[in-house]
Amino acid sequence: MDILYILSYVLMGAGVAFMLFGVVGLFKYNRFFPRILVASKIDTVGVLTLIAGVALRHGFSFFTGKLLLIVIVMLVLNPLVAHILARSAYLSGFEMETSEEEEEQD
Amino acid sequence: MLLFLLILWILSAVLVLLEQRPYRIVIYFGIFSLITSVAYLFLGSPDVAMAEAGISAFTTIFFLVCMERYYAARRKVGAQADSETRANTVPVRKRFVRILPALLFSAGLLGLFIWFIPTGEISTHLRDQYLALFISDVGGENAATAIYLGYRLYDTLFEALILVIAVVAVSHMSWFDGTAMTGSGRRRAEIGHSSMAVFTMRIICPIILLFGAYLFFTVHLTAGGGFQGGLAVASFFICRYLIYDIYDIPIKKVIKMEELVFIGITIVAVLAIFLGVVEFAQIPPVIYLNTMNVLIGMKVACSFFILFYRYIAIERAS
Amino acid sequence: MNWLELFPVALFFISFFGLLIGKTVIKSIVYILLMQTSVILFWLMLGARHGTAPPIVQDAAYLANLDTMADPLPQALMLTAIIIGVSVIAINITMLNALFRKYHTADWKTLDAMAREQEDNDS
Repeated sequence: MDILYILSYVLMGAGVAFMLFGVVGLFKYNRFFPRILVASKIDTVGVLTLIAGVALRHGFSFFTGKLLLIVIVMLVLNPLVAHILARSAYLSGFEMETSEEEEEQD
Repeated sequence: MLLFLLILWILSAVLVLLEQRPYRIVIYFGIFSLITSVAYLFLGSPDVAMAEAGISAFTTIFFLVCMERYYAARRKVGAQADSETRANTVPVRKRFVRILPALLFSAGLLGLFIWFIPTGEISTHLRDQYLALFISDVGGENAATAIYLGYRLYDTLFEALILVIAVVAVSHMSWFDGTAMTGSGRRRAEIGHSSMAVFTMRIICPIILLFGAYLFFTVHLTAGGGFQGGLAVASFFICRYLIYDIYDIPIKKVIKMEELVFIGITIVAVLAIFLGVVEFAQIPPVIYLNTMNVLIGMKVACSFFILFYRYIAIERAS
Repeated sequence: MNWLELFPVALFFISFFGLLIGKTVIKSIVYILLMQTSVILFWLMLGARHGTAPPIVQDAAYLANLDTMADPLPQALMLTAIIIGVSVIAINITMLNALFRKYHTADWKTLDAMAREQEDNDS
């Protein structure tokens, strides 16, 4: 029981750490496409690890089934969101190498 | 925890207030709404939190479409006479003098409010009465649902009426010609070309509809209800539009259906509560609650579908 | 009075101040939304003074601690308020779109000048 608790806290901490790396990356890069890459990592890896930790902490019950549903939906939808954002940015003429003045124009 | 959330909340609000570029205002407003929704959840009101989350998603989409129009209009004119360029020419001290009366006025109002606010305990008589009696009076297990479908049904009717009026006003005020209603030869939605997106959304769409139905039919057990479920069903129709890129649902029929559903809500409410048919005929209250919620959800779904169609499909296409 | 309730009150008056000095129509609409949100949060905080458990009674065990539950009345009222606020915002955005089509700007002063010009032309 104790090992499971420690493991759950480790997982939750890892999720928060992934989110932290993502936020740092959002501020580190100032181009659009690296930012999309880093932001999708917050959504998928961070949230999934956090939810796995919560599920371990709570034990296996009906609640864990609900969490599993959330995990499935997130696993399907979050990469899709990043894909659509990057794709529509590319299609609407957002070049890979934009100068900084163009980015500042919104 | 609540203090931390509130500090984040006020910071994001100040971000919204200080920002000048319209696109970023909309994005910061989305962040603000997210934090607000979590704060509602921490204050023990999951119904309002769900409603706020759904609403903020829709409001952000509407504002984004609006911003697109704004930039199109500015590109047409060439932005010379706008406040953003003019503000830089005015010196800081002059600007400060200009806003000083407004600052003093609102600060004075804030002071008056804090001065006159009653400091004593709030009476909990009504809360205790509602919490003790709602199971036997209205039924269900969710007290908020019992109040807005039982004790204060007038409010719900009024709110439904306001939503119908808003939708009719929106569909009559905005521009449309006859061709836009039937829809032919419009531009395609952006995700329509991406086969990955289409495939995934095809799988996800039934889950969204199922979630809406779940919110309709478990209103007597947990949080949720007609309004939140209606938002989910509306987003199902929006996903359908995004996938298949079709405009085959005639808007006028949807408006007509919304009016009919509103009449149905009124009839059910009058029969059940004001004439006392539920108690007279020994109908279980769960049936009444679920009927009202399905009707309200249908109406909300129709309204938001019309609004989305209005803003995205027609305003952008024209 | 719980001092945490000063946050929504402060935001209400800050956005009122913004509404007074706002330069574009878009920002005015956003300020109206902020004011509405702060009013809703204030009501919910008033309702949560005596406890923050959600007012859902699932079995008899919950009936024992009714005192820790939040007040359900503000929640029901605020659901109504949210929907009415959305109706107001929808109509506002429609009018804003109409404004863009007709005048191609969202600046209050430019709009005032244009309206005055139009009145002079009419008379």
